[in-house]
Amino acid sequence: MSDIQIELANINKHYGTYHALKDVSLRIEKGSFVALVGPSGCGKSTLLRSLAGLESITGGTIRIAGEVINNVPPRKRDVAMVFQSYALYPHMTVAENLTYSLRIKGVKKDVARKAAEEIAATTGLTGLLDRYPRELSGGQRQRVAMGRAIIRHPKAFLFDEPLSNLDAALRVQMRKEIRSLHDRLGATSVYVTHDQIEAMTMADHVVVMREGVIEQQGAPLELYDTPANKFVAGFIGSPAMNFVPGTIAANGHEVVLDLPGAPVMELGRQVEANRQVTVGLRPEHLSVVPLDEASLRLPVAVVESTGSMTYVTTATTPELTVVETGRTAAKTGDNVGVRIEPGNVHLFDRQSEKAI
Amino acid sequence: MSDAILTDNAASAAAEDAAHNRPRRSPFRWLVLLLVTLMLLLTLFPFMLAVINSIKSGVDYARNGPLSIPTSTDFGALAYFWNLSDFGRKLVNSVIISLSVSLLGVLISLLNAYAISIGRVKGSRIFLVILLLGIMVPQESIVYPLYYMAKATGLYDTQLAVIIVFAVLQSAFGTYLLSSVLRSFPKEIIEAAEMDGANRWQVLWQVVVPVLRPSLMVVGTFFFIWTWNEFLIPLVMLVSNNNQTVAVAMGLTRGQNMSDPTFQAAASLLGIAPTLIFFLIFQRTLTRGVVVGAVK
Repeated sequence: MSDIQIELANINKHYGTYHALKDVSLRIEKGSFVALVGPSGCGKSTLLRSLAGLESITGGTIRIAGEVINNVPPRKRDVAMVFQSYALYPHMTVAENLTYSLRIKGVKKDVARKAAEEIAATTGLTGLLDRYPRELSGGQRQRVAMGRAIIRHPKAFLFDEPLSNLDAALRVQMRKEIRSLHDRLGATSVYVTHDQIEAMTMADHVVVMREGVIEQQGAPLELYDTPANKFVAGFIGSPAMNFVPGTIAANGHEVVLDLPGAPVMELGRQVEANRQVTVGLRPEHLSVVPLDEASLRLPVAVVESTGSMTYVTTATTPELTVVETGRTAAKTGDNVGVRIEPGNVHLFDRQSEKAI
Repeated sequence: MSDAILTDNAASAAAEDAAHNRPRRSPFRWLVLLLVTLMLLLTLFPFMLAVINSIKSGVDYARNGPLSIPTSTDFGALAYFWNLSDFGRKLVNSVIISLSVSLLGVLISLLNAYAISIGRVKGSRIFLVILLLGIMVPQESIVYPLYYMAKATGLYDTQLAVIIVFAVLQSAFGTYLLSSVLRSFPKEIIEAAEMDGANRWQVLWQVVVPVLRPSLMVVGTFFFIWTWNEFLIPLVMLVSNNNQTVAVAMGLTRGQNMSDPTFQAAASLLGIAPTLIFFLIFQRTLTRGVVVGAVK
């Protein structure tokens, strides 16, 4: 028996002439937490909604627990969804919201109430069962939406940007709560977000999408360390990776950066000579150092400090961002020395943007 | 930064106003108040005429005219109209017809609007325009075909004929209003219900209707009042005295060669009183429903 809980095979979705999902294939293991991430309009929500049955697909096969469910209506798919806007029933109390699915199935009132109380205890809603959604805070509403999904014990949980409407602090807290709930329930979760931090911190498996296509999928750090192309490299990681045009030197193991002074960097590996490339440098792999130890000398445009971290942006084209732990002496207008950690250089083909 | 300053200033100004409890009245506001008062008086004028003339004796009316205050209170005209028109019976008829139209019309409107807005029926816009023709065409132009239809189906001179005609005609407006309300209904709530296992029927009755209740009440109240005030179709359709409505009874107070103004005033007062009471009871619902969807 396979432990694949959800299988999407060659999914296509057209809205008139617009091709929203292009031959998307994905296998989700039972008990895993998968994040679909990408910029707006990349098709991640469409894919999730197709999985839920809220959108029909134009081609391909969707299987849940081995069963093809292409033409099965949402109510019979046995998946639960948490919406961005919470989508609570405004005329029902928290308890009624939680137990609506049970009552539809004909579960007796007292049994449903007991289930609601148990869910309330799990999700921190005890004491709020008789309130209406309008009397709850954003975080509490979010919990009700999750409780409503949990109470059904579905085959999979689908989350459609559930934290977007919360403030930053609450988002961090709910991130942990959702993940720990997932672990406790041993559930299979598919989580859509445009926030790569959410994807990286919560998921076992991250799927990066762009324009209806899966660009890369894998474990979060795998995507971070070995991005398949320039798009994934730029999307995963915060602050984003620096990209500098460059040319591979004639010896094949050095790259000449297209920056003032045409600095040369050792690659530590052999690449086709004279190839036009884009060099990817993660901000945390650059550091501000005394000028005599530096591989680059660059003028500073902006210095931003958050207390624990300092972001130094250079006044070059393209600009480079350097992340320093703690404070730095660099000031706007200074010339600073920047060192690049050897072995942490990503190369992408200038034309195809694929990793080299 | 400048935003913060603006907000602070606005807040302190509001606090000052609240502290002094002194709303500023510009001359323009007074002008508006004057105009509103004038309009109110204009609106109340016919009511006043009906009241003062219905409790006036015929002699008093002949001597002092319609605008005079009654010299004595005389309920004769009211009692005469009540008895002559069998008003109790007419009242019951009007209530039955108006209430039935109200309930049936709301039900038809709701089902239409649900199909059009939530069910995303293809060509719904054209469907809506065709429906709206029902309220756009003058009643005089459809009264003939309606008459023959009622005759052909054996519904002529039955209250059911009037109920069906008005429920259908008025549901055109109801469909229009409710489908625009439903268009702004949060789609996610319906999707959440579908995911929770509800079928379309359950989504409609357990999720959409409870949320839509204020709008349904408004539509129902409108239907009730409009049907109550209908004259032409009930006059054509309901020939038996026992089936007629208040509006028809009111219309029969004036013959070709006779006119009794106090009698007519009494009929008017008795005719409008029930709708007025109905409106006063549902006034809150009406105002609440009219602004539904205005915010957010």
